[in-house]
Amino acid sequence: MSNSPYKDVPDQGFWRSGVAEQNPLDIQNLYKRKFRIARSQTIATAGSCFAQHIARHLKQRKFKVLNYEPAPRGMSAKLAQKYQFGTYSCRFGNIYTAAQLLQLAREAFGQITPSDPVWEKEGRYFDSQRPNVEPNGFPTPDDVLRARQTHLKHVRQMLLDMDVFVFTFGLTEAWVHRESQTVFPTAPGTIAGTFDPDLYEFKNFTHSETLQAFVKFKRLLKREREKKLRYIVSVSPVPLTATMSGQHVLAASTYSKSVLRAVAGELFQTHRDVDYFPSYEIITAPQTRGVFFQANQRSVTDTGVETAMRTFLAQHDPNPVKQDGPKPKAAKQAPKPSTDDLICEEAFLEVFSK
Amino acid sequence: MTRKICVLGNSHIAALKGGWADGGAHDKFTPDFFGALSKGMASLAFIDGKIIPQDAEAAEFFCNISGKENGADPHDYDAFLLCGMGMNLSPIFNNYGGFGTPDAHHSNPDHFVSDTCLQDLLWDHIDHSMMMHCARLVRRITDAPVYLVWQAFFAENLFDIEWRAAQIGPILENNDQEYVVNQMRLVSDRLSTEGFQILHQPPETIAQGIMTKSEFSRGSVLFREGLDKPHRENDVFHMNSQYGVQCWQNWDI
Repeated sequence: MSNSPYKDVPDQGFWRSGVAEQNPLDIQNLYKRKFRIARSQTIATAGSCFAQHIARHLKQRKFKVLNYEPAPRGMSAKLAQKYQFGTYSCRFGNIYTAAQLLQLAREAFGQITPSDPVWEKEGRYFDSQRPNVEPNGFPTPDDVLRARQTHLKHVRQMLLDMDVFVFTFGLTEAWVHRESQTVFPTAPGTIAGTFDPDLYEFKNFTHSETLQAFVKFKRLLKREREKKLRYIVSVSPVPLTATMSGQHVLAASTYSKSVLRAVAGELFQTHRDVDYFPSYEIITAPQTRGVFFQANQRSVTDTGVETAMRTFLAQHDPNPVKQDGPKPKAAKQAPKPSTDDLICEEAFLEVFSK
Repeated sequence: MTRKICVLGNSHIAALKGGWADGGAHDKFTPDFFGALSKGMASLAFIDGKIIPQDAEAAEFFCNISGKENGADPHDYDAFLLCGMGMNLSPIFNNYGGFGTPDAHHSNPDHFVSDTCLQDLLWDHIDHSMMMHCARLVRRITDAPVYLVWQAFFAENLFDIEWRAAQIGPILENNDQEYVVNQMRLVSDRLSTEGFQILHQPPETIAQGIMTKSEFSRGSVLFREGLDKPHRENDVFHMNSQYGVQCWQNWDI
């Protein structure tokens, strides 16, 4: 007994004391930051819809969150959200897969041009890589391409400037262009475009593919940048809305999240500049008994988000800066955002449920 | 019998009130001028059968300026005319420089968005303005015609103000006046479907398509009893009584 290597394991290393006996609203010692984020450092955010919470909370705490595509002057928070201004550091919409993240970075640095860039719907044209940022689309395909060029200019600058990159892995399932393997954030035909099985194919990225995509993304930035960059990765706790894998959606979701969690874990273990924030664990841990999920057993409750972000900020901002200065005018201020305000294109798949 | 018009607004009423007194008057109708300063009209309400701001200070001004002790009785009027109160194109002017759209003619904007995006922005601005608060209040309590007046374009002397010139200059350089006017038209169409009638700036007062000739702004006065205190020098928002004269002579009410 006295020789067991477990004798010096701290309380959080045992399930009973570390989980079962813990208050789900305040699990102790679950997250210890790997590095500090200084107030002077610039932060860029991207990823699946859950990443929007991290961006929002960091902004509220007055961290220097980059925004290269700000809303037009005078735009209300509600309208800005409709057009996805300020949702992330650029208007790229949700980036669910590591493959799409890598693809975007390569495109921004002029290395590739994704195929099938414009999708059509009812005579309007949409950016296939971010079909939801302009909900009414553009009148011509050229307009879409012009908007994309200005967008990419800002993405490139963001990738060069940021000191900390916060990314939330969302999915392994995606749709790709058969011939070029261009990855899309949504299935063609969901928001715009037309599904053609000869043109598009379903792809369920594996652990090695996801890991490789992120590592290649890191290498690309290392080549293109001069200053040091640090990463904070997390895994979205939001289950799949629908799967094309042929499996039961619960099994498919478990596979997807397991892959992403394993990738995040490996990145954390093997890269000194990558920290892992366990938002996935906070929301899905057994002792929560699902209390952090809404009635649909999918969307995360406000309490769940607050709990996750409290854990994050306890490490990165234990002594919040007092927010002095004039308060925003009440008339223009949007109501406090809630989880219902998240933009999740993936959830649009729900309408296809019979 | 001469019709009676209830004119409601904020500081922009001064031009119409002065214009009526300075030669714009005619015998088709008689206007009564009601208004409040700053955000006073945002509290306009229908109380005990009268239109009057809820804010005490605004209510006092509203009654004093009109000479009507308890506010405006809607039954006394054949039509309502609302001016100022945020019915302007500020969002378009503020963002033209930074945001290109398919309908505008920017050569190299920093951002390129859909026209719908900026149209939504302009509509949101109008929809939440004091103007629409007042207009919808009046619409709810009377079937009389309700005329909404677009604020005059900025006066040409804005080119004396560097940052203003930087806002408007590119629109003129790109010959995008029609783009601006079209944004206005889209809002007007939408307001028409709500049952409002829209009045525009008289063509005689317009310069370069989207500006007001300086002669219609120079010497504009504050909206106070007596109309005798001038606005600050280089005020490019407010118009003078000569502008008001043009309005009364042009508008078909």
